[in-house]
Amino acid sequence: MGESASEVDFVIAGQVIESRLLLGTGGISNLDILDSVIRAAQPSFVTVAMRRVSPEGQGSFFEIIKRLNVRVLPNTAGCFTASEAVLTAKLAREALSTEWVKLEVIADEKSLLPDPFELLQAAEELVDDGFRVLAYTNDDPVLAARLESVGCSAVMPLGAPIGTGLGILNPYNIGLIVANARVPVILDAGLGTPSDATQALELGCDAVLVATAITRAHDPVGMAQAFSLGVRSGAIAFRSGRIPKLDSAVASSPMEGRLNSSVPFSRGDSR
Amino acid sequence: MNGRSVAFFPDETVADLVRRLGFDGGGIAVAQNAEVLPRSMWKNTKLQEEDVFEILSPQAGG
Repeated sequence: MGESASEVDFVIAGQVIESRLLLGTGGISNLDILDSVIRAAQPSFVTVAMRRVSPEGQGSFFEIIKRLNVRVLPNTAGCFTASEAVLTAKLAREALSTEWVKLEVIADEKSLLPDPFELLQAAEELVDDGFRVLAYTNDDPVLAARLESVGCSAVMPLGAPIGTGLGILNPYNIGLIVANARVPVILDAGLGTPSDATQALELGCDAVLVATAITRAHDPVGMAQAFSLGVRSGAIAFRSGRIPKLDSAVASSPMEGRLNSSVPFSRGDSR
Repeated sequence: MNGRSVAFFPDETVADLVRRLGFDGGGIAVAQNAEVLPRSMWKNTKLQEEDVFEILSPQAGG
């Protein structure tokens, strides 16, 4: 991007990833604008879900993503158990010829929060089977470390529950995950605005995945562009090094050489 | 198949079924009894009673 000589590559499983924004296609109301949204977002990956084929819709979505020539990251959205997620991932590998998968195993339909036990089990099985596993996880530093230790290629902690747009509810935990991780951290879920994405990158996350905040925005194309800028801004800010937070004021102008009249001055003097 | 019963012909293969149902446009994967059935094996796999098939394809999501 020519932003700075000190730009650091974003690498997952040995591959340089060209954009720190991943785009989820869930929630898009009109597939006709997907092309424009992708061009505005410039994402490195576009995620897709695997679902039973239906005679009416068969082929159409696959044809669209093939035509758009973007890198597709299948997910296991909607799986509640490790065995469902593993089979879904294997079907995605067969259908899309990719060993990369965003692993998602949720506990229930209401919270959509990851089930840590099923998630860890599925991650282990898929890694053993040769998958590059990007694991959608809670904002829990311990679980993130466990996922890394079983061989996940990236961890994807949530900012807030899926689709809520609440932003990063526990930046402290996200910071801990980043500090401990030796694999990329991709903040996933719950972002509402580009400034949330900026914050994620400022906290040291390597990337963000955004779906609802873009696809359900009033103007998805405009919001896609805004997120793209937000992510780039956060990445530059992170590597530029923020100032420490202090408890008291520190003048930015020099104190030396200022006017220092010895004549008492009181407001409200009548002339 | 995908949660509902489907009638099939004697000696019908998975490849035949996929074609007959109009799902052969690419981007699909088949699981037979909870195991992936690679595309290369579709034409040699005959449908059996009690077989459970899942046929999935990518959709907007995630």
